[in-house]
Amino acid sequence: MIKSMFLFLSLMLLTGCWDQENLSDRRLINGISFDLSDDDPNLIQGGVRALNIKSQGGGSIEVKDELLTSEEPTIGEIGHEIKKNLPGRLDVTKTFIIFIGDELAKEGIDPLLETFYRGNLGYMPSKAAIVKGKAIDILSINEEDSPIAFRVLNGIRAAESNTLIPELNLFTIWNKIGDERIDTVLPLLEKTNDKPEVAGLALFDQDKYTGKNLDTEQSTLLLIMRDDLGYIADVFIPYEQNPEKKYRLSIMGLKRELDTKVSKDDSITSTLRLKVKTELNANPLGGSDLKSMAAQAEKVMTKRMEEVVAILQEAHSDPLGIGMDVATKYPEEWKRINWESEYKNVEIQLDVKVDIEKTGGLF
Amino acid sequence: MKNGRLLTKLQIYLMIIQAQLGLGMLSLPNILEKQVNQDAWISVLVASVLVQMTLVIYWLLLKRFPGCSYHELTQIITGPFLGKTINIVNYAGYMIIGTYTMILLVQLVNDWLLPFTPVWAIALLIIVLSMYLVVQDYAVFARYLVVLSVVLIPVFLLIIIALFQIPLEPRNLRPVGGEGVLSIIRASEGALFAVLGFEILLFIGPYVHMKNSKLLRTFSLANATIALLYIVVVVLCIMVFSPDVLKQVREPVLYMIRSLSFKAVDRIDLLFVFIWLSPMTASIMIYLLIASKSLMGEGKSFQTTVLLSGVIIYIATIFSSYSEEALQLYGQILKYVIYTVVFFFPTMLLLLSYLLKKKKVNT
Repeated sequence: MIKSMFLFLSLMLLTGCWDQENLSDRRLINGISFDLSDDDPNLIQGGVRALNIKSQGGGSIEVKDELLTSEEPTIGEIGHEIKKNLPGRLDVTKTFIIFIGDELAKEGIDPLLETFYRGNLGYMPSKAAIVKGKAIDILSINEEDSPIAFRVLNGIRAAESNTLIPELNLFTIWNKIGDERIDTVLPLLEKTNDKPEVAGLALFDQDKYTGKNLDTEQSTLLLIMRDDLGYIADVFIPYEQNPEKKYRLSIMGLKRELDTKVSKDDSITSTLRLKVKTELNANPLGGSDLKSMAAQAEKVMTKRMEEVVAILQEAHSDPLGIGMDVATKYPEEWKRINWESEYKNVEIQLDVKVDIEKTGGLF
Repeated sequence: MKNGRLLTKLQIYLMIIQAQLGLGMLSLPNILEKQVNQDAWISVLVASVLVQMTLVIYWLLLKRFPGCSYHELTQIITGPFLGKTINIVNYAGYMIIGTYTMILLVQLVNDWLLPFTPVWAIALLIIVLSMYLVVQDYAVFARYLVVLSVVLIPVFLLIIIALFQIPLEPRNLRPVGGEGVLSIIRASEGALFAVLGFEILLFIGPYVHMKNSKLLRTFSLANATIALLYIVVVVLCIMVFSPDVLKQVREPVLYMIRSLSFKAVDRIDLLFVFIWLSPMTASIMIYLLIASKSLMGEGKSFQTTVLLSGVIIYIATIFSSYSEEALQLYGQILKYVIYTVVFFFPTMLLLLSYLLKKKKVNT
């Protein structure tokens, strides 16, 4: 009797929970943008795309999203301000993408992202991207059928698998911007003809955007140099006789070796050896001498990679991790060297070997 | 002795593993990285060697006084008065360690799982469950720990997933041993606190009946398993995080899991905390058990002690959680408590038993 009374009471009293929250009470944010304010350079203009999920009965769900903006000095205050306009609880647990305007990124992105790491609700696998011009311009694009953040997210994922940009998320970015031995790169987006587009990579020095970019072709080369390939990686090589036309090589395998040496007078030489196995995938002029085509590819790739390295050194960005190599192999020298000024003087030598192993279905 | 009360080899093995696993693992990489950077894993190794030495001391005590519980043993060696004093000090010591673990556990649950649930409710659930199990005494508790070992599977799975999903930076491990032998040994103190819990062995005397060599082998095997697991986790964390970030994050293991994402499941860290709750609660149960055991042997008086001690832990937890001063005070006392109760007393007792030629006479 007492037992059943107890059970009955439990049934009545123990049905609640402090931490339960209904999806219908929440407003999911699926994209965020941060910009420098036009009016006051001390303010940050933040924009969010808030989803409104409504069930229409019969299992169909209507998803609408609205754009809300606010200008405040810090991220926390922007969130607070936006909460006032939002019918429901602001929820960043499913924020797939964060857009940052290039002017704001030059001042450092760590203060913008910090709140996502610290809070329990921040979504670590979300992506971050730099936008040429204003980030809000991309976030405010109105799509017919799906929210804009999903479109951009899919674009970024496609670019990742095509080795145009490295596979990144907030977590991996966080681990690089805090490390002085290596730098990160972020995807660079651009608005062209009212459509978002991946324009290449934005180069970073610690958490600050350097203002220098790589275009998509250079990005692929940088990723080859980092041995950071996606699902497919293509390079286009001009014919030796007819440089207007190009043939396409898909990379099948890659061996990378970075060898950094610090000599007694603290001058640093770094040798990057790459062995690339490729497949000839498009050969519009029907060149048949594979050996000379491979040699041509070697020549062209080395030259272009040297250009990329020159850009990196000029921008003082070290996504290849040469600083990491020095710091781990020569810890004593690393403490002595002033990496800030020394990185420009590092001699980076490239040694690229290309093999064409397959030619598809045709000879 | 009644049948079914004796512990099997497997039970002892899993009991030690469960006792050592727990809260400590989640924050261990952070604590060690703060002190010895890339050499954190060597400190774990040093700590496990120290634990092995302590285990040998415990084993020698058990061998010299077969079938004796620790609280009888103190009285046999030092006489009734001193023995009882030692028992009371032991009781206080285990209670302090147990309460401290409880405070950390409640805070962890509050931070990660149930942010809006008040502390008293979380603590109540944990302590009631603990008291309910511990009242049943060793045999039941050991069986529970065997069942609980299932939680080891997700840990192994997550380690394997993390190995393949998160980009690793093996260069973070270099230079090996660069921090100097002395600081590595000094830092192993932090690791020692994370593998605590093996004190439960002091009390298993009346519940084992097997060859002494087999017993030692079981102890060592369990200790080696834990050392291996912890080293793998620490090495993984060093490779995943940049040193700077690892020094900031309170629970690196959870952050590492938090960065994983799958199509079907997100935020596996929350699931993991939920699974990990059981081994963490098990360490509280163990302290409740051995605290009560160090005062009372068996039967009714033991059960009353368990219930009383549980209430004391509960009240202490509610009053001191989220109070910075209380935590600091605990931190200061804890070090001395651990050294006294876990290492000093057993060693002293063993030496005294040899000097005074005290030994249990088999009847």
